[in-house]
Amino acid sequence: MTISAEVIEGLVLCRVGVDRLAVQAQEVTAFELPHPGAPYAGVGFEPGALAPLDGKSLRHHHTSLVVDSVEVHAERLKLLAVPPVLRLAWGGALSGFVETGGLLWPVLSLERFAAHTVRPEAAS
Amino acid sequence: MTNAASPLAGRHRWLTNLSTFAVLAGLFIATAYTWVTIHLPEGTRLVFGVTLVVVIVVFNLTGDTIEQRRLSTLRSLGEGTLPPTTPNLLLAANEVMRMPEVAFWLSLVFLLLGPLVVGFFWSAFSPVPPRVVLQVSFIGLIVAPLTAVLALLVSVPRARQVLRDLVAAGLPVTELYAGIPVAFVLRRRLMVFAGVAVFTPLLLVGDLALSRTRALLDQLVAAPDAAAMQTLADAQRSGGLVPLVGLVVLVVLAVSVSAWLFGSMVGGPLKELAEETERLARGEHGAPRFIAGEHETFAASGAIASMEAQLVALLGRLGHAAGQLSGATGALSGSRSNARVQNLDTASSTTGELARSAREIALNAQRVSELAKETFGAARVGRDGADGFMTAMVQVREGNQAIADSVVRLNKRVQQVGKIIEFINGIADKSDLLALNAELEGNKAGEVGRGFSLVAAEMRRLAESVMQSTREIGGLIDEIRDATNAAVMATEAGVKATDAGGALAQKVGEGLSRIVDYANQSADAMQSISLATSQQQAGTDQLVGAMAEIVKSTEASGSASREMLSAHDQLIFLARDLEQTVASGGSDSGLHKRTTS
Repeated sequence: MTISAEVIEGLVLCRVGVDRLAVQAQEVTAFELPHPGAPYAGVGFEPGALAPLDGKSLRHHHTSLVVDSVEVHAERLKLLAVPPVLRLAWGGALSGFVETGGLLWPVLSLERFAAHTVRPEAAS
Repeated sequence: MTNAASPLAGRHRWLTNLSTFAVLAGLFIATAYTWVTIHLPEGTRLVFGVTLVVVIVVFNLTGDTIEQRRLSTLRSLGEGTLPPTTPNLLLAANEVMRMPEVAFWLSLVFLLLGPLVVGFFWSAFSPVPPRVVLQVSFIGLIVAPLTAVLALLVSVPRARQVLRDLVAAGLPVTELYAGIPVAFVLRRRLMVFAGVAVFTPLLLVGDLALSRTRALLDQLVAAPDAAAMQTLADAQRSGGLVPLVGLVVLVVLAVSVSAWLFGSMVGGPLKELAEETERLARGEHGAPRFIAGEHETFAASGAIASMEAQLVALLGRLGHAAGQLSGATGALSGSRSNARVQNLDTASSTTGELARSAREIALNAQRVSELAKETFGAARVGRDGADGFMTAMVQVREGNQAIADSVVRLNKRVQQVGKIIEFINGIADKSDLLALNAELEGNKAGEVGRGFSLVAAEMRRLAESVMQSTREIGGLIDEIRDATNAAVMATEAGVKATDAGGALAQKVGEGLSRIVDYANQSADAMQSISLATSQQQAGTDQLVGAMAEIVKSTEASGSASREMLSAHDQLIFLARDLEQTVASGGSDSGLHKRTTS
């Protein structure tokens, strides 16, 4: 599995309410049923959002992040770079954007975004 | 206060006037006797005259007061202060009937006491010789009986006239005769009158002669010589007899008038009685007439009046009975021949109507009996229907209960299916998660794991498809559960409704059972009535036959009825003869023959 600067292969597209995000597949250890206390990705977009009961939990070693639904995307996609100032958003979790299905998906670092959702005030 | 319109007004004065005149006549005789026979001393005559006038006035007023007091009812009737009722009129009649005797006794007492009182006061105020006083005092013994009889006799005609006035004023004759007590004293009266008529003139003449003789002797004794005596004797013979003769004539005239009055008192009523009996004998009977009389004549007139009243009543009853007998026999003769046949025809017609009515009643009873049977059948059908309805309601209730049980079981099965679906959904969810992880791992493996990822993705789609199906099934199960719950509630309501319907059907069934019982009883009763009316119809038919037989036998007895008609014709003739006899008042009977013979 090669990761270039412009092309990225293997993404997990996640939906969080009306928002969306993408995580590189290598960062996901397994998909699990959400357990109580796991951070909800919706909080990163809107503080105070509540996780759904039938959501999915993305686990990365000892870190979990709950989203509404997931979809594994195996095609190669071009990673659109973002200015350095935007990389500080979401706690430095944003890597860039990919376009698929006519939509832009922010590619986030699962570990950092999970930490940011635990402390959402850090992103602001 | 005098009632001028009353026919009795002033009759109490008119009744006593003549007795006063009789007393005055007696006084005139006494005065004349005194003037002729008694020589009143000089110087005492004025006192005598004044005393006489005073005594006459006092005694007259006293007698008049007594008489008017004894006529108080008659005076009240005349003045209108008393109503002219029968008791009042009868009381007045009693007063009038007693008035002649009252006049008699008052006159007698007055003429006996009056001279005594005059002599007493005359001698008290004047020097009068005792012999003269005695002559004056006892002059009443001579004139009093004659005056009393005269007062009685002149009062009788007026009393009779007042009695007639009382009858005219409304006093019934029969009440008058029954209400006046009768004393049979005519013989005693006749003896008294005879004694007065004989002895009064006799005493008068004897006393007169004796007094004249004594006076002549006194004068002769007082004469100085024989020539004077001769002169006295001649004077006595020549002119001294005129006053004496006049006095005697006056007394005889009074006695004669009294005798004439006495004869009229007795003969007048007897004549009227004879005329009344003659009138009755001629059959001219009517209301009883009043015949005025006294004592025996009054009793005789009362007896004749009573006889006339009874005769009139008897003739009235006899005439009424004859009229009834004539009418009855006439009506009997007119209807006698056909009455019994008509009655029998009427009875036969009535029994025929009765028979027809009995047949109609029997027919109606039969119809009513059939209707009662039909009613009984209908009520029984209704009761059977109610029983069937009751059974159906029980079956419906059982069916509803079975449905409710089935629905409950179905609900339980649906719940079990829901649990299974939940289990399948859980499996699909885990399968989806596993497929997702497998796809992730295949994606991580790169090209090598691409096929694995495709399979995992396909498995994941299948799992999601299963989950979608399980969700749809879960929705259907929820709908089924809601439907089964509604069905359970509906069946429970149906069970309750069938319970209520069953109770109502049971009541209806009980009511119809009672109706069946009553209808059965009515049918039995109407059957009995129909049987009884049939028997009555048979009886009336027999009665009609019997009446027809009677009519035939009655018509066969016509000859006997004709003989009976002949006998009734004879009875009619006799009744009419009796009626004519009664109507003629017995003028052709033996009563008239006895009177005229």
